[in-house]
Amino acid sequence: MWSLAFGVVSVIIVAWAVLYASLHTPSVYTIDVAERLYKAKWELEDVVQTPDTVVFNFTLFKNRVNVVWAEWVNFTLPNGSSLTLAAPRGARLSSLVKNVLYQVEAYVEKCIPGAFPSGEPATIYVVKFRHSIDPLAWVETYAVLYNNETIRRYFLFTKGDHLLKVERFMVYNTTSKTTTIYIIAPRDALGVYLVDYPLWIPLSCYEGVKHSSHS
Amino acid sequence: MRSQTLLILLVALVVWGQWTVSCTKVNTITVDTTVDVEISFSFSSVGPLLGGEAPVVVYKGESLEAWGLGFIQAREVKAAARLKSVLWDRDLEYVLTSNHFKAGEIWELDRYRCEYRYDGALVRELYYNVVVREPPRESVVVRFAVGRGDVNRRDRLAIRVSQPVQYHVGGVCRSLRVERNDVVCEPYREKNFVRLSHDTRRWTALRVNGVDAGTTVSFHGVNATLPNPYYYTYRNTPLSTDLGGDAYLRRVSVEIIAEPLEWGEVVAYPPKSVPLYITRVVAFRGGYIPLQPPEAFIIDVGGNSTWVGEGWVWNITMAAVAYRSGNVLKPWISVDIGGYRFIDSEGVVVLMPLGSVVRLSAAVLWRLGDVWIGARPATYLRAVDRVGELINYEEPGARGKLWYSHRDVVVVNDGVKFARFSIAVDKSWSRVVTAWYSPPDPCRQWPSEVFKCRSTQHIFTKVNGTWVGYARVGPRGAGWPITKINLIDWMVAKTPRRCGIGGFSDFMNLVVGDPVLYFWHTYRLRVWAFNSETGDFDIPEICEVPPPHRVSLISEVYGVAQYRNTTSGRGQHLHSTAVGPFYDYVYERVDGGVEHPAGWTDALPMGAASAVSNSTGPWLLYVVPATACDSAMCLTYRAVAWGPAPPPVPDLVLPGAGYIFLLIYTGEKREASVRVYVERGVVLKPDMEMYVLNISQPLAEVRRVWTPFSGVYVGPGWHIEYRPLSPCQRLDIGARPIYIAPLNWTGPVRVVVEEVGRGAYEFVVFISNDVSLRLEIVTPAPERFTSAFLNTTAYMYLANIPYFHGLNALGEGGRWWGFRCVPRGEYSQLAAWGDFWGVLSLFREVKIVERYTEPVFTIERSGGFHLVKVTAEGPVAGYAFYLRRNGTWTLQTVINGRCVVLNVSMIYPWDPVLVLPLVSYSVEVRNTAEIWRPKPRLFFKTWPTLSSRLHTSMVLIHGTC
Repeated sequence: MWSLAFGVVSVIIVAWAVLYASLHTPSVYTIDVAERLYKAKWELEDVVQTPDTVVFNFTLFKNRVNVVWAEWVNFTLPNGSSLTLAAPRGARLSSLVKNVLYQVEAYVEKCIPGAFPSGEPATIYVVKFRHSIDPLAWVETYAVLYNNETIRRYFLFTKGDHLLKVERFMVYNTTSKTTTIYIIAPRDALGVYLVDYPLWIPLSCYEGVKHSSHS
Repeated sequence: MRSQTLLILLVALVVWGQWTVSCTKVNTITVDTTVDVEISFSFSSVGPLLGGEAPVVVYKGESLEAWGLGFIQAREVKAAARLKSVLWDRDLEYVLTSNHFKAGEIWELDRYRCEYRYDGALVRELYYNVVVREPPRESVVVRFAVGRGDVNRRDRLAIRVSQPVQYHVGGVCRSLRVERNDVVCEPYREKNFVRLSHDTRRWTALRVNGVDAGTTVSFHGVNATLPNPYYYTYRNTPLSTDLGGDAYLRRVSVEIIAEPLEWGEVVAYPPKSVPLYITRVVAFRGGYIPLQPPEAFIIDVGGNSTWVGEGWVWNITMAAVAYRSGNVLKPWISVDIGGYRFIDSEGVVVLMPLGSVVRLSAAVLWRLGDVWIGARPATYLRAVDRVGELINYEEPGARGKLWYSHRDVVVVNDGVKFARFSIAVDKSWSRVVTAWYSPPDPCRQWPSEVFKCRSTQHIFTKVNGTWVGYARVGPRGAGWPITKINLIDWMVAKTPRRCGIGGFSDFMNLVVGDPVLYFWHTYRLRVWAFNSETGDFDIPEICEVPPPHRVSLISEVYGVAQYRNTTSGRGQHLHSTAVGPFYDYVYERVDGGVEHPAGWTDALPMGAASAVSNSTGPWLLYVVPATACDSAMCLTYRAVAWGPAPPPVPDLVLPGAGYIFLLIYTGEKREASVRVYVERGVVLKPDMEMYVLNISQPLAEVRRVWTPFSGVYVGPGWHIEYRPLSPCQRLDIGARPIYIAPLNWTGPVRVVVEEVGRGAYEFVVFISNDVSLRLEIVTPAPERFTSAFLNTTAYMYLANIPYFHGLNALGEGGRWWGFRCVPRGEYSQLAAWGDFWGVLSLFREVKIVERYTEPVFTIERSGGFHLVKVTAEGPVAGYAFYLRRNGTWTLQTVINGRCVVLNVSMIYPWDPVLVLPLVSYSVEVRNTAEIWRPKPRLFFKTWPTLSSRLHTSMVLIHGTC
């Protein structure tokens, strides 16, 4: 009997001590930066895919955030019919997941005719790029080639088109935070995707970048 | 005429001037011109060639070099043996008579001074000597004798004479006068003379070189009887003097070259000239090839098996056709006699005394324009001479005047192959006529290469837009696929024949209409028939090729009349032929043995790997890869074409890639304007703009004088002179546009070469995206190990052929490797070096799956040693062993082999060994590549070692297992 009472009391005391200690000891709160960054980028996928965020004025684009700058282009289908579609020229995106802020700005500055070394005619995209995280060696680029199975409603191309891995070169500028990315894509490509996985930023040189956009 | 003082004073006045000429005697001089004149006599003799000895040759010709050897270009050669012993029938006597001024007498000359004056002033003064007394003349006889046994004789003696005075004193005149204002001196011209007043002109030899006249001499299968009486004579002009003719001054020589009176001859003829045949691949529809000899020979056929209805069907789609070009191969004949090589294009005649037996060599050399071309495999005796008449070797053979076997061949080099034969000439048979043939091989050229031959060409088959497999030829499961078409092979041997009908043909009979002999033998050859169930040629069948076979080469000529197998017409000639390796090919016989070709003439064509054409026109077309720039992406244009040119794969094109065309002309020299049209594709201009091509708009037009085997590189609107490129050699095109193959099309693309005013030739190039990569992977074993890495090289293949173009390799995370060209034999190939992870994009995207290979240690014990077996999974080629020394893992040893046994007696628990497996393998990749990466592993020993005073480990290799 005694022993039982002693045992019960001692268990209570130990339990209390453990509880007390656990409540009063500071513990390490782990922040999974990689996961939050991924989530931040992933959330931006919606922004670049919806027509709601599209602006057609470059100045407006430069003054807002979470917008896609696009221009209207005339796209002729192989059957001869013509569609007016939005060709994405840039994106300004920002996303905050808890304590991780992800910001990216990319837009096509120029489209230059060029060629692959093999001689295949190409367009070289000169893309201005600002990013909240350095460095960016892992950015990948894909050219978008027409796929007749893709349904085109608003945007000129989607990820459902044919994708072709292409080369890109980055030129860092020591005096500003803006980086220039040169991307080479076949001459008849609809555009390119600049991929900071899982975020795919669509950029297009279709019909060239119009001057009015810089107004 | 005893001299008296004579004064000549003549003055001439000239009407138009004041010239006066006068001569005055000055004095009288005396001259003694006595000298010893040397008379030399030489007698030498030649006789019949009795085998073996070095001959003396007499010829008129110039030296000539062919295939690095010296030849003498001469049509007729006299050859004889220098005599070593002889017995003449008499002593030979040669008598000279000299008529000359007597020695010891003096010459008397009057000396005149002649003055030329103008208006009284002395302008010129000349002296003349007039002969007033000469020595009396006399005749002297000189004798030379040659004994009956003398082979050679040399004599020398002197006579004393007075030389004519004009050779001692200048200005000697017989008379002198002044006429019309000038001095006329009649020159003194008397001379001393000599003549051969008596000689032995014809005599007989009773014995030459130990052989009596009338004796029969045998040598190497032939025999000759020395004539009896064996007349001798000399044919040269025996007397020669220092003044020429019969006048002499100081030296007289007599030379007698005694030679037999009667000579025989051996004639060696080359064959007729033949046209140069050039092989190219020609496309056909419907399997019927409307070409036959002599216009064209079919060397090989290519095609595809297609599934039609319920079985496979074989379609001949292309054939390697050797077609007659406008160029001519001209044969030359060379005869080697005792190391002297005589050569001529018409024939060489070797004259030799009757009674000669000798071994000669003959070779037929071939010439194409300015270069010598090869001949192979040998030179053979042939029964047709150079005008197309049959030669009867029967009789000289039976009489022992000609002996020949085709096995007796001396191969000097690619172009000169001598056949040895024996010849005898005597009274009964004094003229031996031979004709020779060596099969021409135009792909070997000397001294310069005018055209680079290709022996095979890759073929691509395509039906209804999909690529079909290549049919196999041979026993089921062991056949060889037809992926290449042969361009160079024996034209007669490879001409397809219908089994059971007709025999083999003779090339010279087909091409230049020479007569033939007939050879009787039934060939039973193994052939493989098409199997509609497998689509391969795997049904063994017998092809009987019945006689008569047309032949003209002789395999043997020998003394006994046992000729066989061959007849000419109704059987006059029965030359032995057909047996033996005339050529370097055999036929597969039904019973498993081999059949040799009979002695038909044959020839090799010049193999040209051109894009497939629909005709046998004179134009060869090639595509040559061209890149737009050297950087990763081209912002500025700097086009470069890449060798080899002409390429071994003339017609394989990668979609979307740049090319230029190479056009080579093979016909006769002419001026022509040529337009090139391309069916589809685009043109990339230096400003990076492009335009689309169509078949009605010429890509370029080239107007120039085309010489055989000249060519141009052609691009859109431009052309530059052709020069050959070796693999990976760059040709700078600069700011000229290039042709870009269509991107979204695979299959044939038509290219038309139009010769303005003459017609058009269609060519086909194939666009293929059948790219595969071969990864060659090697682990290096560095001296100091930090982390394992792989040396990986990716090589590109197009349609399974090594291929080059300017494609960059892309890895994961934006890494890239610029294109590099590596020569691989006669090909150039695209290669990328690196350590590829995850994905590799080189025209096609290849996923890379990593697998790791780690050493496995199995402990064994053997005879007191502690042994550990080291093995590993995967393509391990060996192991590298490291020990920790000076703070890093340091290489101790590298062992080859998948399984290695290590003696661990000297490895201590506190000093472990790091074992790194070394992989070395190559893998062909289309979609996914499995890459084995080596993983190092430490070997710790946990049990005690019996004895050692060393406290650091040592790697001891026991062996492999």
